[in-house]
Amino acid sequence: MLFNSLHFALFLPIVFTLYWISPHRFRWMILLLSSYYFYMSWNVKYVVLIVFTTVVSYFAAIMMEKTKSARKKQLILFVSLLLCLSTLFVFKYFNFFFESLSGLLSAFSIPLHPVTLNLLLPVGISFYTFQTLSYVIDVYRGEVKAEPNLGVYATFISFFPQLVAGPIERTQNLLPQIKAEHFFQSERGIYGLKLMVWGYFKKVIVADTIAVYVDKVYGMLPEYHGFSLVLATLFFTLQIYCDFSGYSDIARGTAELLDIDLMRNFASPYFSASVKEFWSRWHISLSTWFRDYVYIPLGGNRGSKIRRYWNLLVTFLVSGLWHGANGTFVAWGGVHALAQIAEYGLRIKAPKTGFSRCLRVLMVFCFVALAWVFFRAESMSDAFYVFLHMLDGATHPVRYLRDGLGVVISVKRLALFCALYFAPLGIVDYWGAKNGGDGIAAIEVWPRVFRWSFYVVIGLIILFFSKKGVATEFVYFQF
Amino acid sequence: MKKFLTTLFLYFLIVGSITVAINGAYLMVAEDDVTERFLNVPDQIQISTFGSSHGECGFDYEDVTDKICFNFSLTAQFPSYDYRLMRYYGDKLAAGGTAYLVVSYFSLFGIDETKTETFASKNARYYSFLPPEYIKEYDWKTSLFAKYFPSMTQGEDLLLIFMQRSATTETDNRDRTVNTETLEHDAHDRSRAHLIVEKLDNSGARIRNQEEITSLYEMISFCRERDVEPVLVTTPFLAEYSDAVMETAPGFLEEFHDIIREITTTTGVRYYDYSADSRFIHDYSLFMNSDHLNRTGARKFTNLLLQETLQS
Repeated sequence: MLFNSLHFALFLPIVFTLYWISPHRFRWMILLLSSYYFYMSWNVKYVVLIVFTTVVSYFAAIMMEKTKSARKKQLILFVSLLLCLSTLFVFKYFNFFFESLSGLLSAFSIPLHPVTLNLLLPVGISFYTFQTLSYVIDVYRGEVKAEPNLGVYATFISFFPQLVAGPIERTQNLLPQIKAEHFFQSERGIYGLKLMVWGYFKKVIVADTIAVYVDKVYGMLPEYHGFSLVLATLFFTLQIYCDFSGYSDIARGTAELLDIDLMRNFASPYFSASVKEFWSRWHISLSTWFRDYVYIPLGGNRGSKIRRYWNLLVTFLVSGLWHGANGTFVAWGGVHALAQIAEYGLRIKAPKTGFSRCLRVLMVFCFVALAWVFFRAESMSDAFYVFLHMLDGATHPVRYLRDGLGVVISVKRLALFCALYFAPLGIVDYWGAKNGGDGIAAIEVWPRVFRWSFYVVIGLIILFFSKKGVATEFVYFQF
Repeated sequence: MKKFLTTLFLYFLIVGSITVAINGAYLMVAEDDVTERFLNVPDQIQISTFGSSHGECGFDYEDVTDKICFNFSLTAQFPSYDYRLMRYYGDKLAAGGTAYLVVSYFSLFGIDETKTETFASKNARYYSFLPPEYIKEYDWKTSLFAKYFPSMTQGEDLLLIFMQRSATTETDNRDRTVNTETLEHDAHDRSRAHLIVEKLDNSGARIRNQEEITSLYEMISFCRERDVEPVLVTTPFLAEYSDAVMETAPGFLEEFHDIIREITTTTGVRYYDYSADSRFIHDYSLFMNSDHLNRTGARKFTNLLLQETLQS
């Protein structure tokens, strides 16, 4: 079930009503049933994987808590991580692994018969697997207690607003909220609705509209060169942000309606003045996950400079691989790591205010946009094609801009997009960047008339300009 | 909960009221909606045209007063939809009549129409006059929007429609003449849109669209079964457009004509190619852009075509 489908528009009010009219002790059951229904409406069979992951991690945590022996604890942790990760490996990385191995061996003239599994990638597998892993590791570390109620624990793993594309929640934040008694608070409910409206605007308006132009260019790269490649890349930079942060906002908004607070996943990332800052504002739930469960265990900032850089590189390469089983994702992670290593090495820090910050924000935005080329390209050769041809004809700037624009989008339509789509996005994000990252919370200081007008206009834009009868998937579903 | 529900209700009330008002304004502005003519298709049509905007702009039956004529062409309409319209309105075609099947360069090539970026907005226009079984990928939600809230199926074009209406209420686009200053650029853009975008596969080879080619064959058979003579036509273009076509896709015209030759040889259907007709190719007063005739051009072309095809 997609957030931007009619199915969800019917599903949410039903869940909302059932949840609030039920006594507290039944609410987790309603959430559990609705979460499994939510997932099964995509694919009934694949629910087995969530059940498997849930049961394995549940019993592993219980057993770890009961056992006194450190070795036994370690063994249980190892086995449970192995089992949980094995499903992820089989469904997501098996083919990539065999292709890479086959390529490597063939370089040494060792033939390897290719094995390909024709499996559909289960939606959200990377998200719920990581949530499970953090739970098991936290119990192992003694940071949280194992949840005795399998039903409550299953609700924590499968909580539908964040099941398929995050935020990847931490046990300390979500699990207690699922067990706690809730009382409806109108202010929170209204805030949730605002988040949802804003999330839908970002997804069904900005992301889905510009995706068409991005797909047009990236789907037929040899046909394009010069500014059209730059424009498509800039559009993708906005698309990926609006698609994913839009999902996160809808997820958070939905959870707020149920009086549950999910962590903020984005905090105006394109207003970052360093790559390090970008990663503190982009996909926060994943970057903090990698910090806590990969970077710090590897040694983190401890040890020599070289060691720290190595830790950073490994963390970002794994993070790239998390996004997809393709060398392009690894390259994307790699360039982000190298940029941060350069920032550390050259002692470049994000200026707090002033013109230098503006300039730095622009530079970081350009870097991030260029790095997205790896993320969007189908292959490394496609990515290099973009880099090699994006400045073709730039010696004649007017023609370069005119020709590049002409083949991608008309000037009139681009102007319309800027006025209707990009301007509100920029305003809210800028406001958010100045006020702690949450644009929707930040614009609460606006006079009531402005706020109402803003949400009414956004609602009208969604109603009139969204594609009707089509519910497009979210980009991050594939991860 | 009371405050929450009140706010929610107020929000929906405001957004809903404005939506109804905008839709009303749209219905007034779009009263000359191009699809409205399909609700009043005459019986016993003796001359009909099926095709894309080249057919829509290229044919003007104003001067043909002794025959019942109807133009079924619509912008970016491919043969597969021409055939659907032909089947639905088949009973209205008079035996002994003529059906002009306009073949544009883009008609027979490219990816499946339903996969193209403009398909959804293009497809929405058929909901107002075709029954579900004739509509590609019919969807009841789109049907509801198209029938009761057509303004909501226009996408960003809605604003452009309002803006263009206020700018061009006096002068219809079809009465314009081509802007010679931007002609070359226009020709280049159009040839690219017609021959490249969504027309090539990953290896860069042109995709022959078998569904569209088959639809052309089926239209020819359908006409003949009803004693209607099908005639294939390519409308006139300005020389700048033809040059741009050759520059954008060298070898395309041979490929296009190969298919037409295959069809004419197999079926014996007549084909008239006016794309390089010297009476049109340099006459800017007859065109609204590099490949579309304006009203004057359409009248001249229609009269000429009727003369040359009905007499022979």
